[in-house]
Amino acid sequence: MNFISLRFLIFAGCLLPLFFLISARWKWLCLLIASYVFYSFAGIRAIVILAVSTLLVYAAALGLERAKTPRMRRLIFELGLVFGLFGLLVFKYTDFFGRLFFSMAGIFKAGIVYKPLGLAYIVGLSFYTFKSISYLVDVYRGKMAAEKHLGYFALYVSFFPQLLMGPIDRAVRFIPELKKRAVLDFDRLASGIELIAWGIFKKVAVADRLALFVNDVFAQPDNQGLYLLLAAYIYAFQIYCDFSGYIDMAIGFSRILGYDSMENFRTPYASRSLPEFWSRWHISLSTWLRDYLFLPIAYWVLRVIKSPSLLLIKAEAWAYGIAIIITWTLGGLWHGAAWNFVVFGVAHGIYLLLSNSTKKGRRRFVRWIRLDQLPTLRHAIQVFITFNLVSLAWIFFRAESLTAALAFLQNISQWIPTTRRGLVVFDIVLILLVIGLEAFFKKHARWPAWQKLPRPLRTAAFALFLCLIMILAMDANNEFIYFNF
Amino acid sequence: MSSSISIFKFKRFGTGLLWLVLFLFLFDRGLYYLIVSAEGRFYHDPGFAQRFGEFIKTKPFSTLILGTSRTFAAFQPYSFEKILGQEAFIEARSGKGPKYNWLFYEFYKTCAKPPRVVVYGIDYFIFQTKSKKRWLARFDAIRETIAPFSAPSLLLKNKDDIEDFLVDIIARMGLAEDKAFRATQDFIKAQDYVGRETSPGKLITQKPRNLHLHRYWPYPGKEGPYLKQLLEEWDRDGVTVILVIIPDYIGTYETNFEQQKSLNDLRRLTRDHPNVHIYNFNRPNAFPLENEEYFFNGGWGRSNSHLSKAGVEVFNRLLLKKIAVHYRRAKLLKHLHRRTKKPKQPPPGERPSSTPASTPVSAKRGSWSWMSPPSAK
Repeated sequence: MNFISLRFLIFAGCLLPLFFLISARWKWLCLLIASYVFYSFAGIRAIVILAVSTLLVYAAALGLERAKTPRMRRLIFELGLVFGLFGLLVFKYTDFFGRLFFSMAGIFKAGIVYKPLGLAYIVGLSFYTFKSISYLVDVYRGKMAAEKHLGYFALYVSFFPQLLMGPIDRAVRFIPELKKRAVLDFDRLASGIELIAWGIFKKVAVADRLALFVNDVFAQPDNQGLYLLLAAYIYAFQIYCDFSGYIDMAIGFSRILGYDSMENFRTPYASRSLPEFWSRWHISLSTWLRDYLFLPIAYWVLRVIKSPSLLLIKAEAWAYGIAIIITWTLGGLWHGAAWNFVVFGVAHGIYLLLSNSTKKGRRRFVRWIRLDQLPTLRHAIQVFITFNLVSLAWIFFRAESLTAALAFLQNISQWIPTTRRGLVVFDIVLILLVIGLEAFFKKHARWPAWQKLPRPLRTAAFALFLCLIMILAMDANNEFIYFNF
Repeated sequence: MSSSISIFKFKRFGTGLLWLVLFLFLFDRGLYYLIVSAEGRFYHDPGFAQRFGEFIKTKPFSTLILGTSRTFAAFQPYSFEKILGQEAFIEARSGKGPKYNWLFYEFYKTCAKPPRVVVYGIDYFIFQTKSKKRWLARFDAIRETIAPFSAPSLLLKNKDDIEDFLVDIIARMGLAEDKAFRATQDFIKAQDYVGRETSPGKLITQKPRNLHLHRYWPYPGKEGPYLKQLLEEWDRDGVTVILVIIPDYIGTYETNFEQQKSLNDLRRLTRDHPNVHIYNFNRPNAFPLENEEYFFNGGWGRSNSHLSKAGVEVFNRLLLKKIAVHYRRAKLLKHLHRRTKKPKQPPPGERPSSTPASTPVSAKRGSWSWMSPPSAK
């Protein structure tokens, strides 16, 4: 079910009064049923996989606590991981790895052809799988006790605002949040509605409009000249408005219900380096990758190397390099089972590796050219370079295939087409509007400038903003980009 | 409700909500009025009446072709001249619904004599079509009376118009696009259109697993009464009216599953007008609907498609063959037998400047023998 639909409006209209009228003891049940109803629009198969996966991970976590020997614990943990990842591996990666395996087998024996199973991907699967896995790992590491109440655990996994596109909240933080007494707070209700409106604006008035130009250029990259470069930049903002718009709505709904979801974006394109970018973009995924992939791999490499250095390179550097490349290759694959996503991930891995290994050299260079004496200019250059590197990687992310991405890059030229200039200008105006509004609101933590306005003035400004959405909104019925992941 | 909610907070929230509704109402109306007045200025085309008045006097137009973009793509004045020897004036574009056509016809009669024959391209969605303001502005018909309480939100109610306006503003921001747009508005250039060879969109030739069906929007719909008015006026003016249901690709044909309903509506509307004749080419046995080379865009799951250049040639041959009888009855075909030379084929996208008005196609093609004028029998 899409947040921006009449169906969801009816769903929310029925749920909210019921949720606040029901006794605190049964609120979890109300939300759990609502979450499953919400997800039932993805089909019966999706519901069954969600329920089975939840039950198995729940049982595995309880088993972890009851296991008497470390060996048993390890076995249960590994089984739990398999249970948790099973749906994701089958529905997302069967055809990708099937093709890969058969093409490799084809080297040895000709005529072997893989017949794709064509299993349709289930929306939200990647997100709730990561939630389940993080819970299981945290229980295994002893960071939290296994949740005894199946209802709360099932609600954590299936909590409808986060179910389809995140944020990938951690059980250690979010299960206690779900257990707290949720009451109707009108201030939270008002700020939740404001956040939802902001999310809707970013999606239907900005992202969907930017998509017109981007889709057009990516569909026919021949003879587009400089528009290809512009399309890459505009896509960077399209995906930001699309994804962060959804997250704002998800956080807004959670806030109305009385729960605080984790933040997922912090003006990412204002980042001055790639590591900073990943601490501001899709924060719940990047921290997940850091905690559950990068660090374990890095420690494992350190354990394997044993000595302080190998081939004149420090063991820490080896650990960082190997872990970062593996993590981001898998991170790319998480986004989609295709080679262009692998390249997207590897590119970010290389960026981070280079960023880390050239830190000292870059600092020395900046001092040598005396750029350190012009901090604003230095800042602007850093933001510009980071944004360009990110936009370059987005090309692989957006393209239909690796070949299409390479063709896209090859076709970039200085020639400026004469058509669609109005659309480009309009897109730039929209982007500047979003940047301006975000800068205004996010400059002050928790929007105090906005909160301090007299109530009638604030209400009037909000009403005007709603009218702006009505004027600019596109009836494109475009799905959210991250629904596919 | 939870006891922790104080009456004070509830009252405060209620007051806030009332303020919001009030502001929404005011801004919604205010902005809509602003947009409508801006549209009036933006689309204003003061030279149209004069340009049209001058052009319409250059030829003795016996036929007027009306409809939407599908009509524009399907009918060629060039073919009417070549095959029937008739000068036809085409006034068809996307967003030209019955209301625009009625206004246009009224205006037409102020500049020239009523045409002898009107050919009207009928779409499956004819009663769903709302005339676009960019066209209505020609006749100062944008500023309709706005009833402030007609809908909860005027901005939402008129969203399609606002979207069109926005798109046109964007087009004007890119000067080249605006030039292209102006070209499509140029009614004189439209007369020379002979079909498009390159596709403006992809034709969906594969039937999807879940086929999206399009319900028919029944009469009166958005502008149905204007069509009724037109039919009555044509009857009074003694105009022969030919309503042509334009062919759609087989995918579109099957997607528009309530075609019988649309045909019934049309028959009901024309029942009392003996001057009206309906030709349905949207049937597999009337036109090769399955031939994908004859169509652009649309297809399975889409509501309409446009004829390609190849499709237009076939369609015009078939259509003119059928409707020639009405021209004969109206005594408009008497000079056909004087045609001797086959006209030179125009280059693609262009109309020949000196096409002989009476080339007997019947002499070249056996299948056209029925075209022989009564005197030749």
